[in-house]
Amino acid sequence: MHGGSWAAIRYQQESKGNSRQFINEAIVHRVVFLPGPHANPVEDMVGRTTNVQPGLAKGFVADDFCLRDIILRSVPECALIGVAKTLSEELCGTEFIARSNANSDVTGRLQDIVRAANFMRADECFRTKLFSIKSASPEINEWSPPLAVFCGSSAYLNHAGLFPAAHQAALLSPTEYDFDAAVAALNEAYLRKGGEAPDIGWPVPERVAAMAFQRRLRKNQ
Amino acid sequence: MTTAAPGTNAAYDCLASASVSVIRVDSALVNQFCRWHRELKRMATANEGDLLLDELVRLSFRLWYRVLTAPLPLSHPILIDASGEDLLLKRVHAVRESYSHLSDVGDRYISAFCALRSSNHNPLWRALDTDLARTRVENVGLLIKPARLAAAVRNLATSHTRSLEVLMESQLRRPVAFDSLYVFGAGRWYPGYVFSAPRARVLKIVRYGFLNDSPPEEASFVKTLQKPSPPLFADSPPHNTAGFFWIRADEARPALDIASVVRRATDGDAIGSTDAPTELISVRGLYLEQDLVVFVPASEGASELVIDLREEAENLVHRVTTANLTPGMAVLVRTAGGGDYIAAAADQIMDTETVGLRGDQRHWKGRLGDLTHERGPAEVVDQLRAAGSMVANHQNLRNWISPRSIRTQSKEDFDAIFRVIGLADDADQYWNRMEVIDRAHRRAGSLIRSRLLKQVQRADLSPLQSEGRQDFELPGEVGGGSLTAVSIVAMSAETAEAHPRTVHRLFELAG
Repeated sequence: MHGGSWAAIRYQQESKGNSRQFINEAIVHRVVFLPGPHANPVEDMVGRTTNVQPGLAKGFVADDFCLRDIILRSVPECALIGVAKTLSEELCGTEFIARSNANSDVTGRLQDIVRAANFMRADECFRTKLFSIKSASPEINEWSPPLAVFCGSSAYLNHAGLFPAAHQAALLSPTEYDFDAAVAALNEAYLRKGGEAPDIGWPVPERVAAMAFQRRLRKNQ
Repeated sequence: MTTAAPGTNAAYDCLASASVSVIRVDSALVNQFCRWHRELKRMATANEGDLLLDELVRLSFRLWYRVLTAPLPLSHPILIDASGEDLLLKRVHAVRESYSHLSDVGDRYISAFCALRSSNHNPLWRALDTDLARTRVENVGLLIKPARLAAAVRNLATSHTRSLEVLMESQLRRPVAFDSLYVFGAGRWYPGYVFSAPRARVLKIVRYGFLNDSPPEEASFVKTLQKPSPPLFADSPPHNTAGFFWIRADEARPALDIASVVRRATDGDAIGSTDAPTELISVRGLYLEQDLVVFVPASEGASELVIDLREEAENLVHRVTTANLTPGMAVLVRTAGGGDYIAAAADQIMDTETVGLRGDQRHWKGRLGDLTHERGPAEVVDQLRAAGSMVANHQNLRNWISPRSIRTQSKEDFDAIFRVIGLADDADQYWNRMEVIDRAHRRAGSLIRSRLLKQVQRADLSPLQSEGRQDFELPGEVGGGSLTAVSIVAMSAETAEAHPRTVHRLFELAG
């Protein structure tokens, strides 16, 4: 989102009984985006990565096998909910450079990581499904992804009830018209859960405010 | 693909490395004017309800705010035009004559005002010029308020040797990036994102030193994972108090007060008075980009035609109920050609029948309005219920009388009204004629939407995206005139009672 930073998170799920799951672990991988006209050297840049589906970022820091797995197998793991036009611009237009385990640089666009089905050819494999904040796809009710990412305040405010069994991430920007309302909604949800923030064990970029709390997850109806 | 990425990446870079500094500017000329303006304001507060003093302070406030924020020559007519200046001075003289104990304050105000307006320079602009001379940056933005001054500042900026882009805050919602961004006036007058999502690596607030400023308020999480970042700039006391008095930044900021805007919008109509109360309708205020306000009907089911840039092309223009309007949508207001654009287009469709049909519409509403005025709404509601209306109540009665409505939803209510106003035998005929108007309105709405959609799909919408406002011309077949789309920033939580003529008109907030 404009004005914010990104974090790549790998979520580990832990089952607690039949119907409840809790966020147990989240591991961040740094992906440094290509410098703009005023950028500092790559080494000095704050890590700006993106919320992607569980396990996906692993491809860039692990072995070729994982990377092949990402590219060759469609495993819809993430629902990305937001303004279609903005998502399209950011996914297809944002370039990145990442350092692999072999210490070589991998370059690409955000879409190469997220692999949203909407921007893939029919013969390409995807990992993410995009949902416009205006769409009401019946598929929403039939699919239970491990992770739902709400891109933007409107997406969170209007669709936080979707994918109740998924881990959720909300990405907000103060430049959005309904930023205040989204922050208020998240604060309320946080306080409802007792006001305890788990230690998620990953660094948050400087000047980016982040809040985390455990949700009681519900299976889709 | 898209070209958005460079801007997005550059905006991220700004976040990582931005710094904010303050260029404090002293000016005895401006300070003296501010001092005597505030003295007048103090007098008005002490004499609460004094219309003469209230009007004087309102006129002076606009100049005060513009002087404090605009880097324009202090004699510039956009700060206050000749007729405004004339009116202001007349009001000062009237106050002096009415209140002998205020003559000294009035004299000093006039003296400070005249000294201010005789200057062809601006201390803020001079400070900008000096600072630019010290730096080599090329990509420079100037952030100003209020939006109405943007064109004048752009003109001034073109005369500068450097390339300076004049911006309004809404433009910073987009992922633009500058080497340096100069923010004119107090930081508090701008939304928090100007500083929390900076669009330049170097932000400089250029303001008068006697303004006591602090960072704008912004929503924040109750508990963050990391230690909260310190604000990009800290509270600052006036830097040179010797010979100056200080002003709190909040004091000089126009307040968003829906009741006050309604009062101004109705040109002194006594809102809430017992005179013709049935002519008032319930409205909600929409705060728009460029410090504008528009009132829209708040009645159940009322809707607005909007441009929603978040939508795909085929649905860019659509109707949204008032309750579902959200910030970011652009509401459409007829700015040339006057009045309600749907009604104007409907009249065009009804062609030669318009005069007769509209006459009938006015006739039955007039009789119902007269009856209500004569007997009071409570008695008329009782009569309507006794005559067979199931939904008669004060609000519905008001809607039925309003010239903005055409007929009742159900024929039973319409018949009840016609029994009560003594036209029972004509009810069917009137109902059919109101149906003609209703159909024309529906067709007009549909035509305008489709014509507008075509224009919007063809148009370069960057003015709407960047400045929050764009004009569109309506073809003659749908009434002609021009429509202005202005993005909604916020909606008033409360409703107000206002005259129908205030609806769908653009009003400026003070400043």
